[in-house]
Amino acid sequence: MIKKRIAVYIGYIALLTLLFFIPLITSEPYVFHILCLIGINIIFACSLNTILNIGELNLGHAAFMGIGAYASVLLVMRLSFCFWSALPIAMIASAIISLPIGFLTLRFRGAYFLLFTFLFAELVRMLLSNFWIGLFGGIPGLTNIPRPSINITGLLNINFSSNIHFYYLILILVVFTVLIMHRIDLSRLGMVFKAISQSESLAESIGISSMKFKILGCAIGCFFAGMAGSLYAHFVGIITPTDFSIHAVLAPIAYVVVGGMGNVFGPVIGTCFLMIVSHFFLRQFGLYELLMYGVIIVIIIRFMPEGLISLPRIVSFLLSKPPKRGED
Amino acid sequence: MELSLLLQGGLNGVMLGLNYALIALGLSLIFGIMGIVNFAHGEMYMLGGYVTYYLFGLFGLNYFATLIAAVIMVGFLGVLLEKIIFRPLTTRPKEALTSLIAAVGLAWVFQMLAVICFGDLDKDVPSVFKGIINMGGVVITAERLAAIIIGIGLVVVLNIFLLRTKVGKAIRAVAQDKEAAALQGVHVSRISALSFGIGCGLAAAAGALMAPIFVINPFLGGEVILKAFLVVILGGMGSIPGAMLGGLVLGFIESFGCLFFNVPTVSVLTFTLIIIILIVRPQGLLGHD
Amino acid sequence: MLEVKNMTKRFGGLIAVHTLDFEINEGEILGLIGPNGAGKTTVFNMITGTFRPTHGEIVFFSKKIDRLKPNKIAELGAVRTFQLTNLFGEMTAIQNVILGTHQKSGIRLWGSLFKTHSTRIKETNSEEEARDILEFMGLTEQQETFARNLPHGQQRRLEVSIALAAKPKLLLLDEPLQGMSHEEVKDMVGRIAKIRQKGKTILLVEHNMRAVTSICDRVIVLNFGEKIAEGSPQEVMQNPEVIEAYLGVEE
Repeated sequence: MIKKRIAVYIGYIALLTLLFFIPLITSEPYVFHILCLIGINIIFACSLNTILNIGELNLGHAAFMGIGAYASVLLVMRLSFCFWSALPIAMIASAIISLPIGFLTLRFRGAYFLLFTFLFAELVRMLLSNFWIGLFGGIPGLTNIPRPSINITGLLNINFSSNIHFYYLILILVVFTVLIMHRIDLSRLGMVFKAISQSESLAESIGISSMKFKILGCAIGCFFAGMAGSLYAHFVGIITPTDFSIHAVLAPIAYVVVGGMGNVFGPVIGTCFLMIVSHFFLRQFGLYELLMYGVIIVIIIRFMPEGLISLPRIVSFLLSKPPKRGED
Repeated sequence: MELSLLLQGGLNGVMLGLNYALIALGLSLIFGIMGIVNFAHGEMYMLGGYVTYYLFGLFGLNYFATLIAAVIMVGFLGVLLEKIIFRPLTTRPKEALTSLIAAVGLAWVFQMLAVICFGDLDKDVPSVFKGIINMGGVVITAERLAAIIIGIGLVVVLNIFLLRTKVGKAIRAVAQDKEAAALQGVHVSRISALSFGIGCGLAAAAGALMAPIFVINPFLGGEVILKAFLVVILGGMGSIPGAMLGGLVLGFIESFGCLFFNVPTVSVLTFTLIIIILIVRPQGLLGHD
Repeated sequence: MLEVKNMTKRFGGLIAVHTLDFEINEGEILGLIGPNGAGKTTVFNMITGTFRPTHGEIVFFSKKIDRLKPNKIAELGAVRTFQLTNLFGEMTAIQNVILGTHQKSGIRLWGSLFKTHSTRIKETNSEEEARDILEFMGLTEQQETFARNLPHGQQRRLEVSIALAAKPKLLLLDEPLQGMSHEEVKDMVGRIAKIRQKGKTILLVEHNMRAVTSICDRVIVLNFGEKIAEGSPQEVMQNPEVIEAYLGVEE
């Protein structure tokens, strides 16, 4: 067991080192543009996974990414905050706003919750598009969002307008996110989340308040969605309300499903796999990216519902001897 | 406010509402029987429109025959989808989630296939009924009036089917209690497939009815699905009369609202209203559970 | 310990339970029996907070519990098992029982994230408690097996283990012997007796009459939502109304 653990740790460190040194292989800004987008999507997919793990599908999750994005941009551009304080504030804002929404909507189950979140997402999109246009920029949204920078005179001066620099920022934050998610997964809290998703009635019967934990799980998810939103805004430089609509959450749902839902690394793998594949397709087939997404989702959900992350298990199962009776 | 303007608004509301109701009926039916939230429902509407474009618009087939053809073709597609994709998912855990995701994937697939096969430009379907009818200051095109009448006819047929025929009763039985129905000898899987087909067929009918009135393009589905969900939430998931009521209510709110406010405000008001209704009565106006 | 006063439950036009009165005394095993559809599980559901009584009240240790949510009632010490197997299927047996201990374990959430020293101690305690309970219920060998892979009889035992982990004062068992073989029934009945010896009070819904007569101190019989008899198992079994209620019902 310990041997396996060490091997896994070495694997992680090797992977991280590899990622760290990518700039030595190439310095094409386009490559890093894609890598940054993948990173942002990984964070968002992980946050979505948290909510899926409580057993609910939140179609409005992108709206919380939007809240983080708009909050961060407004803090930086209207109130002259620096990015480094705007980011955590935006994340906290997103989490706090999710509390009353969660309280209202999580009392519904399954399909009703789904539709309610659908409504919420559309409502947010409409509010952002049509009201307080002076503040939110209406349908065209907000533009000219500055890249962050670090300016400590005499010590450090980094301007993140270079994609390579931004890449490192995102790499650090992705690792941070995955680490925290993993931590939660292994902790008692993660255990309670899983329990609630497997049998809410049983959890309640032993004193666990499912509402409390669902709201907490939702808040955690929205906390990181806010991070993804803020990073996205300051990376791409433009945000519009449709960036955070229901349609924006559909692709990340695909990433999580394809990668594997129960596991922290599922969304990571799913995002990387689908985004990379789609970029190759994009180069060859243009707008048929959506078609490919659709086909892959349907095939995976039909034949491999636990996602790509179950691939090693399936392969080893197929290669091993038939199991004894009574075993898994 | 002139009476004729109000009446016009009312008439528009009926047409709009009926359109929404037809689409929502299928969605509600599918959810009521199988618990599946069919995200691809809008695409069935879109396909109904395209069938009309090709059979009626290009090949000149009789409009009513085209309507029936659209319902049957898309309905058959629905049956296939249920058998191949959705049925196997029912035996696995987290069925609500996986079927939703599968439906989302299918929606994309159909949208893109439509773009590939039909091109992404708007297409016009020629009018079936020409002329304008003027009823004392209230104006409506013959086309829209026909759509209303045929739409009502379809709903009546559906109701007779569900209430009087053996198959219809079987469907209602499965919607109420799957196990009890199975114990009574109902072939649940066949009914599920049939219901899915009927649901999709209804959406296609709505698409066929609206095709001569509005333009068609591959992206109609995405626009329509939102309205359909609103109607179904409002009326109550799985409730057929709820879908009717919800559709009409939504149609009226939109149509009258647009007399007084601009479109975005109407939308926000509609949503807020629906959210309030849901908080007070979460199962919708006519829903159970 | 528990008092049910004038409890009525109506579902639309159907009256499932009608003006039911009874008491559970500390330390006893009270049996609740009756033909199928008599309302036994509805009574359970009302005591444990899944349903609210249409009329009447339920008092637990002098506290009114009829309007409380299920998790609050469990906190107060009334824990139930379910008629249909209800487990955390994707987790191991010991994880299931550890979850049972969670509510009373005093583990704070932030502690569990940062694995503070006190949290680690509490988690170890939880694990030990869980092991003890599994041993008590004879499931030590199955600790690391996933709950969904356990055979039916062991699953039922696991369900009771989870309930025990929540340190109940009143344990409500809903047909725990359902689907068990003769051997398993004997085993389970013995364990239930031992649970009472540990100081727990038990409300038992069961169809297995031999089991009921062997361990219940008192029995209440329901039919069509009404109490038709109450007393010792022997008295009740000879009650003509009770016999009539069961006529035609297979055992």
